Amino acid sequence: MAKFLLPILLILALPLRATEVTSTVSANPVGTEDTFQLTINVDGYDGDVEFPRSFSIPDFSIVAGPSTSESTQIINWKVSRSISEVFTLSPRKAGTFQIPSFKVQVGGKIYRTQPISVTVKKGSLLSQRPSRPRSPFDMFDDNFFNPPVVTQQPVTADSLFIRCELSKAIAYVGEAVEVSYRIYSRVNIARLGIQELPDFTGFLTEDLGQNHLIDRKRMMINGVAYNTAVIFRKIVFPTKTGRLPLPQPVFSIQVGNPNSFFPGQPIQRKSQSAILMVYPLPAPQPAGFSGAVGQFQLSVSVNQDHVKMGDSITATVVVSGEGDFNTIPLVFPESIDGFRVFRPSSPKLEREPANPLRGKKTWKVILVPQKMGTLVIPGTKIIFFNPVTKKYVTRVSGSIDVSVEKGSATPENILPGTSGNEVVAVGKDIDYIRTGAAPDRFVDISESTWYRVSMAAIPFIFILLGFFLRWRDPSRRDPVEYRRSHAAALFRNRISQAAKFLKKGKGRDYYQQVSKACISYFSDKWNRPVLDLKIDEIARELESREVPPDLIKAIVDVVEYCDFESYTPSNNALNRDIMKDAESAVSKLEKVL
Amino acid sequence: MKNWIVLLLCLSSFASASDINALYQKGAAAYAAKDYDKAIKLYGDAASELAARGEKSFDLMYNLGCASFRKGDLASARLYFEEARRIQPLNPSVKRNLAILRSRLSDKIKIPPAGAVENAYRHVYQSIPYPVLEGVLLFFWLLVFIFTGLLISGRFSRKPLYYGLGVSLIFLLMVFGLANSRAGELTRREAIVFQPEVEVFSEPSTSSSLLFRIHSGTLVGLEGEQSGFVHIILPDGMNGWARKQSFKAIR
Repeated sequence: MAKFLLPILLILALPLRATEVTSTVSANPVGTEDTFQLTINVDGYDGDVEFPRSFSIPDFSIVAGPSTSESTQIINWKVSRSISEVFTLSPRKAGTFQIPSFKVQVGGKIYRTQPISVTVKKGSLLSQRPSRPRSPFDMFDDNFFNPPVVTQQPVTADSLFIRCELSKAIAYVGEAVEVSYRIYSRVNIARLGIQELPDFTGFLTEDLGQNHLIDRKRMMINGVAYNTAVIFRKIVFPTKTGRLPLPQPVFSIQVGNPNSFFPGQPIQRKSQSAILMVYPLPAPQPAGFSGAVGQFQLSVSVNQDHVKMGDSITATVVVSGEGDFNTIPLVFPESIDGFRVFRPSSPKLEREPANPLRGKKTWKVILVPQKMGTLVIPGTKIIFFNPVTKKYVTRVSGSIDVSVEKGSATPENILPGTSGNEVVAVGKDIDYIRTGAAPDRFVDISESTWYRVSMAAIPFIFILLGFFLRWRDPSRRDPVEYRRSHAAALFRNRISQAAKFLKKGKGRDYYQQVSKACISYFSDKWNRPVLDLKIDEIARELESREVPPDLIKAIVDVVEYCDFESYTPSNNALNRDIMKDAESAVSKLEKVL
Repeated sequence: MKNWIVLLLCLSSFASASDINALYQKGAAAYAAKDYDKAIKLYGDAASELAARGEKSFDLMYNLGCASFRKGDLASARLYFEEARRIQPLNPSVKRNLAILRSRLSDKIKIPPAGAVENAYRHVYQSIPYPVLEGVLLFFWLLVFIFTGLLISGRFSRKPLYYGLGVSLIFLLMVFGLANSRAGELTRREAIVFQPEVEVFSEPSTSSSLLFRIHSGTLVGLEGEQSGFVHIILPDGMNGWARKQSFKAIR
């Protein structure tokens, strides 16, 4: 028995792990072109875990993460959990750097990790990922779950790398330079992606349409053949002088046969570094220089040089060549004598697919002649800096004569006024802050006590006030006066009773109730006992009060009809209209009496 | 003695108001001098002072958003602009700034377009300041019970009172609908992502299926909360569970 109990007791006696917070790196040392994982791990926690929120690590860039993983263990019948956050880091330069201590809050208590010293060497040290260890259960070693494509193609720093290629190594401020990230590979690549778009600090940039596997070719480097392709490219325009480093984006690459069901393990590769040397533009800069750097040609043409007055002609301004087209403004006169000028809202920029630095920028300007004769479109010019000759160049277009004949339009019916331009947005930015002596105030009055008390008290106050006024109503204290003033209301109550009889089909009761309601109305109105009132007497009284005869006849007819019907019951259907006639007559009498 | 206490209370209230105004003006000066950290601190202090009194300020939230944007903290800028938009939903500056800010975020979420009737209704209740809506609601509530009280008293002709009661009730219901919609916007549970990347799972556990990832500055709706996770929903309807600490709620 003791043989069985001893191991169980020993297991139960094992101590539980206390909360432990650690930070680890996946590799040390690492290369400047490598990426590695930083893991902040919390073991044996109980309660909420708060990892450090946004933070930065000097000398390293966080290229991905955090991704969180969690695991649970049961020891001594108690649940012990561990959780970790993983960041992917990329070194910024070579040297020995420290990853600082992190503060992690576990169940309200603060824990700190130990700082880690990481050695960063130039180049790539993590060239080959360790292959998956063979499973002890893989008895047949048939390599089914570890496809041969990975093991047969070891990924070293030489077999797969990415270079940043510049169209020129030296440039002037504002000069267009094409930056291409080209992958060199001696292994099969199944999938390719960029971790994070690079930040081109110190440059203005222009996107180029296609950014995946262009310009594929086979290249020889030191006698070794590589398959290469441009995987990301941009046109950049340096905005400052000096040695400007280009960003080194990190690409995620899945090595393996793209057609295989098992494309292999993903790896990350950082682009090799590249520097662009940027010189300032020579001084002094000529007047009218807009900052355009490159080699350009200018041409201005019109679609017709013989027009009738009022007909429009199109002038086409084309700047073609190589360089930064964004800095070239429309060089066409804002106003021309004899023409109304409609300047375009935006130009059309076309780049050559083979060489995106080359292209042409076209503006279409509409001109409407406003007088007859030979009108002149004056010549124009652009000034730019040519980085090849290292000189400022001026290109001039000649003037164009346009012959204008008399047409259907006359100078009078052509709209007068100066030619206007559409306002063109040249940039985007947020609106400015609000200023003034004091900020506005927003108060939600529904949250205030007085508002809630008012909403709750109003029904009680006014309903109680209504009952109080009703109770204090002097007419209710004098029954005679009350009956007189409420005769019509009392009549309606009695008529509603008659309606119930009508519904039940009690004809006799119905007619008696209608008759009684009419007589009682006059009884209430004149404070006379019902038994004393006969319809003849009522008619006479009404006559003496100068009530219109048709109204007297109406009420008399109602009462007499009801009396007749109540005492001589017939099998005919009940007369519903008599009740309405009675109500109508009383309603009219109420206005007269 | 009582009068003195009242006077002191009034004076302290004025002093505090002038403090807020001074902070506001200093914040504007710091912003103009491109000292955005200082501007955020000053505007933040003024906003805290107001919050202690149960008040908010569109100007302060808007300016905090601008300063955070200039500093490059897009998540904070989004939070402040969204808070400003709750106070003045139709303010054109906030709309423009939010459009520019959204264009710089990595998550592009398509918002399904609303119908013309819904847009018109929303425009109506957003164009009326919320305190005005609340005041008008109180007025019609008062009117309804004045007519009810007069009817109960039985002293006056009933017909005009019935008409008055009917019209007041109709207006009360209309204003209540508008105020309720606006209050719903003001108290809507929304938050901004404050971590570079947040993973969203199918259940409140990291061991469940990973559905999608969202990034800093994205606006999410909050539906529920469980064991350190919140149930989030995106404007396009995608939803899941993410860690609560990754978000800051819009107040």
